[in-house]
Amino acid sequence: MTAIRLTLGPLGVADLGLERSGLRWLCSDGYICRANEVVAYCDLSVTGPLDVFGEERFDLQVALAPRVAGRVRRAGTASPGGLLDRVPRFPWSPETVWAELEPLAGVATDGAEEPNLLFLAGRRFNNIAEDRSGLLTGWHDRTRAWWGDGQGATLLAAGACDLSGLIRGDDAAYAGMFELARGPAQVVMTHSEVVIPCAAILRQQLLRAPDATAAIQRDFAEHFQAGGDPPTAADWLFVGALLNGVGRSLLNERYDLLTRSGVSRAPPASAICLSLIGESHYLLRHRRLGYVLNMFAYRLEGLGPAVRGWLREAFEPYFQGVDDIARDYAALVAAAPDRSFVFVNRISAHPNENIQSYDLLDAETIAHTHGLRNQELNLMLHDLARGPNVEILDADAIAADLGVMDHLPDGVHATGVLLREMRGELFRLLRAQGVSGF
Amino acid sequence: MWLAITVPSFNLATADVRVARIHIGDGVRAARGQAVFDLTVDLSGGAARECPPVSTCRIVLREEAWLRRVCVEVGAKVTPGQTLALLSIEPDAPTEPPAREARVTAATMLHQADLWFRQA
Repeated sequence: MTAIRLTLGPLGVADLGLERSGLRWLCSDGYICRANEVVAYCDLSVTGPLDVFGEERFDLQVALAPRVAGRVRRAGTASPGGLLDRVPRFPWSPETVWAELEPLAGVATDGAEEPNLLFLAGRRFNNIAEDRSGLLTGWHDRTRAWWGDGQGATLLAAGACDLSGLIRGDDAAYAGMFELARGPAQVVMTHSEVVIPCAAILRQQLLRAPDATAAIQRDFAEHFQAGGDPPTAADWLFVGALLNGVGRSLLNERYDLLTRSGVSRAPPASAICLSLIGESHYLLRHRRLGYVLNMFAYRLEGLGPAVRGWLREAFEPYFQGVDDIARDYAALVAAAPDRSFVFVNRISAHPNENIQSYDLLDAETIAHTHGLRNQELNLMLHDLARGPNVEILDADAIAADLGVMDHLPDGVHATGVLLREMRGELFRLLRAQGVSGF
Repeated sequence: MWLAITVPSFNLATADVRVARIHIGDGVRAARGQAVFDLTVDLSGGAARECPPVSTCRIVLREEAWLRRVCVEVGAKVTPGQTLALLSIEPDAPTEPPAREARVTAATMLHQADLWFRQA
């Protein structure tokens, strides 16, 4: 079969400036790709009178995926190499031939000259956090991917590492999502290493007035101006990321989109994915301002006395009972009645647990047993799912089917197989809720 | 008859296991359901890294016995199969090698609670 010359095709930038870097390849020359498999990418720079991609303008990329399966032959001029493959310096010319594709026998090739595009953007914690080493690399508090022509629904995933693996996939660049969904669609993943999104925090962000955010920042500044141990450089980075996480309102954020047909601004996410893993046993509540922090304790290990002292003096820890979490989830759903929610339940079994009978355990042990708490939280979700707009992604059942010892061997981290099964279930639930593009 | 409580064989050979809490002391009659040890189990082998797979395993007796000798201290690093404590069925049974393992159950406990207070 005749080879197809793959061109970049147009991008709808109208009067905006658009430059690209050289291509970086994700496959070897001669690789046989699947239809819609990402094989190469480049960095983009969009400039012009509009303030598009404001905080994401340094980490905007597009990945190229041939529409049909076949053998990929690289075009020799597409990748000059070195920093020119990392920094946008070339005009985006629709006619640029970047590869040739030898389609597999029997594959229909109509319209196969232009690839499908997977757009990617990362919002850095700070502009100085530059890392152009790969696809969506860097220290980002939010990454996202979108594809398809036009504007589809947006799925926002707010959580910790378990959701990151589920949503971003093995390549950490959303290729798994891209191959499953027809689009147009967008997937957004928040990455707050300091403040972990949970129901209480999402709700407080959703409803917080701007002057309340200013009060949090003022309170922080006043504390450290009052003397005491000076924060270290690492402390400043930590609290900067903390304030960043507290001050955002993830459910209210809008998104700039670049597609073949134009640049547009998408409304806030219509579908929210939240994991029960993000619900820590203890939260910190600010004693005076009342806002809540949810942090993983291991993140505190490197802190100096200044920030430790601030956390100890300004916040009170409180235990989150199942009823507390249920109340937070219900309040979040009620505060966003126009959104669809998918809640990921907890995998209740633990590889190290071996309880033959709960009858012999005392009350204190019962109250703090990992598996029982997880099962109670999972039951709580079923109560919630009786209402509208809520679906449960039953990770517990999927893990049990596959085998917890094999697919959650350390009790925390899932295998790619388990995450892939969960991803497929997530799509089924989104489709059941009528979320367009998925 | 003497019995032994030993460190369970956790899922990964690289586990770093330490004694976090000893619930009862020598010479005490331990009822069925008595918590005896809390072990911190770090399946990353104790190496500092992100998202550490650390859990707390509580060893609970499934049979009544007398705790004759606790063989470890809080904070001690222990290995699978190591003896944590010796027990006897009768309170005054003369010392002898343990005839078998004590019947125990292993419950995984919420872990982060302790860390909050220690580290914040």
